[in-house]
Amino acid sequence: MKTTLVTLMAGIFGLAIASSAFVAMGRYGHDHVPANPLAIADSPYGQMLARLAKNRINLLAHSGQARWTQEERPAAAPPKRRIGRHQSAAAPEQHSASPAGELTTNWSHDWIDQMLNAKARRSNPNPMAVIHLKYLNKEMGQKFAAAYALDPTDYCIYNSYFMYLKENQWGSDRQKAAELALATLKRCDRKMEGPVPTLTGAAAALDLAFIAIEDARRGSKTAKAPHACDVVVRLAEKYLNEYTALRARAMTTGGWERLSEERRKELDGYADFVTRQFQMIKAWKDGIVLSANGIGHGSVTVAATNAESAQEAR
Amino acid sequence: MLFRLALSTMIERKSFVLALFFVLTVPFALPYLTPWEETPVVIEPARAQAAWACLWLVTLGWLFYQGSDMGWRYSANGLFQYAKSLGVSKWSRLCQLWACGMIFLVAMVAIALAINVFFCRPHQADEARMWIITCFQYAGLFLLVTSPLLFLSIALGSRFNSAAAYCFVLGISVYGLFALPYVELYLQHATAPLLSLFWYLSPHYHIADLTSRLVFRMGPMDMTAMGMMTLYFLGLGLVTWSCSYLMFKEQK
Repeated sequence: MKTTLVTLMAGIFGLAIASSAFVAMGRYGHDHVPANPLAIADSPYGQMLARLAKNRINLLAHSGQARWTQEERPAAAPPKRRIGRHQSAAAPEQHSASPAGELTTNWSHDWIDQMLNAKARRSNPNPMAVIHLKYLNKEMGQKFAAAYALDPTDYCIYNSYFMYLKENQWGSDRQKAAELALATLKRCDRKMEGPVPTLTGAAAALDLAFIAIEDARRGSKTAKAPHACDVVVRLAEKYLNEYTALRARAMTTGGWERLSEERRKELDGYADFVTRQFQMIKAWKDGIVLSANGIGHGSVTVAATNAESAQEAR
Repeated sequence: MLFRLALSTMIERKSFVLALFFVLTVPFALPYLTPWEETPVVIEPARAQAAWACLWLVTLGWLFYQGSDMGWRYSANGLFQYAKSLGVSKWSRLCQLWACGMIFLVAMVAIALAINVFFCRPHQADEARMWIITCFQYAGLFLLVTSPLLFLSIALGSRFNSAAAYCFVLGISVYGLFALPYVELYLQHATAPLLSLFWYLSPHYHIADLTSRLVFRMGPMDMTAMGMMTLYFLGLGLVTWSCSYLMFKEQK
């Protein structure tokens, strides 16, 4: 009985200590820290999980038919919606022109693959209801947000999420898209480890420049081009140079050879694409400066049109 | 007597070999699943992260079950009663089983610490010093959280059966470690006084998860905050120990 009483007293004492420490911790600072159990988000494991999440997003983006190749899709099926700079949120290595596409073709002879394709094939001739498509679209947005939180430096996820926000047929949000690009830019600027964050940073910088150009073309009151463009374009240039330097260093240290051939091609292809966009924006920006000095207007219009068509081509 | 019996039984059952193997090998294998080829510098933080994640996983998944199973078996077989007849006090009976579980817990923490200190430490001297301090802070908080829960699993096992006791301890650990931050997130966007009160009274084990400080090399906790956390978990530990003692039942 005596021991039980002492134990009870100890429990009450413990409660008092814990409560006072809890209150003291509250006074110490109550900034909200986002939940990140075991530091998964933004860690190497987060990168891995984000890459795995692409398949699920791809499935949602194509209404459950992500496994289909272009030739297999019947006319009754709804057309693929473009949701990103790549045709889908999935890894670009799945595109038909890539060697991975050939691999898919070879694999399609495999019984399991055929069964999986059959499982994913839509037999219902009626198109999906609008409300259902809207639901899938919303679901996809949540998956994008989750995947982006796991790895904000992955260019594939960033681009797809950016285009989802900016060019969504069920309600786009340019402001949110611009905020995403800015947050990604800051994030990549803080941690430029490896080639992927440098390319993502460059893409985010160019996205901001594109938004500024669009605003300027639309005559928006809040348009900041071309001067605000200067900063982001310089940043994009810095990131692209950084990518080139990292690539050269990796080639000398053998790090480049460690990557698979697929991955090397994908990185270089994407770097080329971002570089071309950078050159267009730069031409447009220089054109504005030239016109300000009274030298021709035509080049400006051509460059701006090029820049916009590049944005549309994403 | 109970301690030696429990220890020899656990050694005889050999499941600890799997647990130790898991804690020892997974941190070296798991980082190679990450895209490390692009950034080889991530290997070391990823190894540290895997070491702590494995430690949490094995403690929650294996050790707490061993605790509740021990409590249930010793109560069902009448061994607690037998020890009582030899004049062993109630506290002593519980503590002997707890000490047996603690041997494995401390061994696993030592392995995780060794992996962190010897295989993940940054190369710069000042960074390495900060890293080691953070590791020891993490290990201290980890033990403050898990050791009372091990005690609770034994006591609950003696009253209910092993599966029910384990589910309760696992539930409370997962809730305190992983779910509470999301409850807080919900409370930020909703007014729910009852839920708020429940949140305040919940065991905030997630505070002891310092993995992000290691992965993102944020440096050690400052001593004031560390002192408050230690006090909080000591208080919570006393409450858990006290409840466990009251829940302990020596015979089915």
